[in-house]
Amino acid sequence: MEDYKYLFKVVLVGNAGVGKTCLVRKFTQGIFPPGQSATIGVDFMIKTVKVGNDKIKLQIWDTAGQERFRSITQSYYRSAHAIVLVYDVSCQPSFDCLPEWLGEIESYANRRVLKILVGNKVDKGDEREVPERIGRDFSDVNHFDYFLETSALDATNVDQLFEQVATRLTNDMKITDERVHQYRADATNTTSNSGGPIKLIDRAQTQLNSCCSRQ
Amino acid sequence: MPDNSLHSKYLSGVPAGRKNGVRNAAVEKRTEELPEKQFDFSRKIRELRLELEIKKREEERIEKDIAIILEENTIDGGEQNRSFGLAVTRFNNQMLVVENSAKQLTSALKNISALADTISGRVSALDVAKTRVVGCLQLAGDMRDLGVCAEGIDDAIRSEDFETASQHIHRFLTLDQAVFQIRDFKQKDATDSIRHSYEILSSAKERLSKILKSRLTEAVQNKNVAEMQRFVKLFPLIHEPDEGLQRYSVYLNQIIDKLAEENLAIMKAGGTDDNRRNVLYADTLFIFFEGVAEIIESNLPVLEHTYGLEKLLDFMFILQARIDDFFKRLLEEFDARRRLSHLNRIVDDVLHNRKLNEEEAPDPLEIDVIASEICMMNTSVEMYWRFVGRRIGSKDVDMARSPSGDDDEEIDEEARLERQRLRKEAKEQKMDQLLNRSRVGTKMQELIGSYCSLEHFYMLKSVQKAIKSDAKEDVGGLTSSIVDDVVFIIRKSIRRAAGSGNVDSVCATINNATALLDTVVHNYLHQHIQTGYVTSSNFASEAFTAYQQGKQVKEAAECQKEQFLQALNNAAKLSELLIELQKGLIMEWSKVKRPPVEKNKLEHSTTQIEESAKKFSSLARHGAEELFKSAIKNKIRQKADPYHDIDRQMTMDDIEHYEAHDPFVDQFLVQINCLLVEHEPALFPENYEAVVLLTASEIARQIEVAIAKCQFNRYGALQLDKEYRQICAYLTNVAGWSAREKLGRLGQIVSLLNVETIDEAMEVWHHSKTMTTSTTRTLTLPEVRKVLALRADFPTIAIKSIE
Repeated sequence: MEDYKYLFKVVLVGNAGVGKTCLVRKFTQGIFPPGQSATIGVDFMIKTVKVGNDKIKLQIWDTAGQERFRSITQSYYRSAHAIVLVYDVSCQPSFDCLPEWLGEIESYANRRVLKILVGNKVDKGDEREVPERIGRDFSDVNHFDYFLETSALDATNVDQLFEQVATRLTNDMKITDERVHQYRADATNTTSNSGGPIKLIDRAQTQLNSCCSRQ
Repeated sequence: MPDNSLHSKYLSGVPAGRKNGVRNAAVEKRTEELPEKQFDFSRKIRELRLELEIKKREEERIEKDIAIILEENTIDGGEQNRSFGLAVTRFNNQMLVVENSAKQLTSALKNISALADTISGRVSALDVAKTRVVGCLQLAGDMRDLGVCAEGIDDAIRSEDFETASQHIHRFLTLDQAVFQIRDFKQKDATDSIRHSYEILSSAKERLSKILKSRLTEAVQNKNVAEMQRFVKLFPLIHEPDEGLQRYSVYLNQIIDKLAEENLAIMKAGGTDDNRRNVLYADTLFIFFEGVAEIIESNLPVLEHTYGLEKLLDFMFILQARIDDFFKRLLEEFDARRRLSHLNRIVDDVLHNRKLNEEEAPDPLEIDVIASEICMMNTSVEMYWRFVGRRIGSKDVDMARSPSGDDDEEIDEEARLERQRLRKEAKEQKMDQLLNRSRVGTKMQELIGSYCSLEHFYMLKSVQKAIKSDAKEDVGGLTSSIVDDVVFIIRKSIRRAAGSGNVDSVCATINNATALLDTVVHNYLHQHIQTGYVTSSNFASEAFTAYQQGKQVKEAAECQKEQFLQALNNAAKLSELLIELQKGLIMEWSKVKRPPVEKNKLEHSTTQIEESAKKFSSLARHGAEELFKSAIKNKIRQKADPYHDIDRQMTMDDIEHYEAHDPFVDQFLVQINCLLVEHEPALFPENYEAVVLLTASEIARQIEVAIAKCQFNRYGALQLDKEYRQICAYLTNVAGWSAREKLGRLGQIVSLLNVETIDEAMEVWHHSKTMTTSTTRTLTLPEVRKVLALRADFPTIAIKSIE
């Protein structure tokens, strides 16, 4: 049933018509819906992926790009673990709007949110208006965690995008978990210092064990 | 064969008898010649004779051998050979018979296949003939119909029997094209009559179409409903349904416009009911949609039969234009009167911290009213869409099935399903177009967007107000007003959003609500917990700061203590209520039928409420720890001090003495109980439980520390066991089984000490490994050694050697 290790919220944002819904459908259902009409409000999908041996559940909120849904979509930023900002490489205006989206992310999202920039529709070859280098530069300058060019039409990098999201979030989460664990362990050790030599030996033992197992 | 080879073997192995005979003859001949030559060969001859004799014997022996061997081989081998030969011959004969039969069969089959070919040829010829006959009959029927139509049409038109005329035209238009190809035939009279009919009917169609159009237009102008309904039905028959719908919708649009005008007029005048002024626009919209639904309901049956459902959707599109227009006007009025855009701007500014001018900020109550009204408007719109969906969408299945009844070509099942799917898709697309992309649809989405901001603002302001007016509930209450207020506000907002029927707005409201809980409310409680719990031990420093601030020292401390406890209890209670709220919402929504995607959205949004609840619960736990640390922990340590002084090298007499005069535990537990009882009334049950559990852990730790410093003998351990049981019984009594788990480690130590031998200790240890739950860890080997070393009567070497 619900035997996943972590559950992450992934929110897709970006101008209307850059292909957010197609990316999500391609990833979750393996189809490219031709003639996809504009999303109304927010679309919702779930997909479980594997990172190493762990099952990771991705909760994907695919928001509408149109202005009139802005106040609904804004409410999703805060609880997101990852925000995927999408633009269309064959549509300069969709790229020009990125600073505006970035502003929204900065003001509503969690500061530690995983930010990913995606240039979609690379299949459009000659119609490309935004060179890859420009996109990459933008992502570097604005401290995105990851940049990727995709195509929902020919499936370029679609799975990779979401796998990256899952992997990075999982790794981050594991580090946090370890820290919490360490902190707890430390806390119990310090408070029970009065427990005397038994505890100290015990602690040395566990440290030794963990060193051994790491190798 | 084997016989032959056997023979040859023997034959070749021995020189042939005949050959010897020849040689003998030659020898005799030579002997006859001897006297003449005068040579003395007598010795030689003797020798030769001897040799001859030997050879003769050898020959005899070999011949005998051959005879024996031959005899041996022929006795049974020959017999077999014969019977085998016979069998082969019989078999051969039979094979000949079979071959003959097979040949006969082949020829018979050839015959049959030839016959079958002929038959099937004939059948297919018959089939062709039959289809031709059917075709001819159809054609003849069509031609006859054509004639009848041609004859009847003029009369019908002349006598204004348009129904009959339309039927004729319909028949004419649905005739097989083949009929008209007959025109090119050679028989002149036949083709003439057909051409004649064709021309008559073509012109009649034109005439009829014109007449119907003008009649319908006329009827529409005269608002003659009966006439309209009569004529509008006829258009599909002459294959011009769009023309009919167009004209008919002119009429319906007029009615809709009239309805719109009336409603707008009433609305502008301020409505009919003063009590409902707050929801005037929502009411107007509701009444208007009711009216439109009624109009559609009463007119649809007329169209349904003759036009088919697919056309109805087109018809709805035509009507939608007028509805859109009304909606636009209503919204303009709404916006102007309720100052929606103005409010929206301010609300956005406040929410995004762009402007913090409190003067300008609107009253949450005003926002509350408008938010409700927008929700009602959305409800009306959703209700109308549902009506349209039900009226046009629900008959989907019938529509898809009816053609399959006519087609008896089952082979095309797949193609039919495919067709059905395509048709369904196209229809869904059209419905989506109508619902989501029409002006009513998009404007409503915009309005819902505004609503979400307004709702967010309302929650924010109300929660801020609740914090400001936070007050302790009536005497004896553990929590303050903020808990109920906050839950009330959030519940109200979420339920209002749910009432609008728009799932996205519900999710957005939940998102915003949990954001408020996690930030504003959480910070408020956290700040009080952060200041810490004042006790006499840290009272001095607190008193000093209070003195500096010029406050009454005692009062300030009391106040802070109270605030701390209140925040602690509030966090626990809030967590409980939020879980309740989430469950309640899920229950409420489980009754509503929704598409799976929307159900999923709601389900996953509500989990956020649970997450917020968990955050409050951990805040409460943090607070309980603080309280425990500053008010209880040190006291436990102090009270456990005398425990170190008991000598654990006891005698039986000591134990009996302690039986009557308890050295420590009774007193200790009484003191602990006092500590707990002092705090119990001030704590929310969950917080109290947390404190008790912390106490249990601390007691266990203190006892463990004390034990580690003692040396036990068997009686000392026995006494310890008795004390452990006493403590255990007390804590279980106060806090239940979970407290006992905290004592798990101590329990292991105690039972390790209570053994007779080291072997028994190992048994106890291994047994405890299998018994321990996940919460208590088994003692490690070094720990076990350490514990056993506390027994003074156990040899150190034996302890060291255990594994």
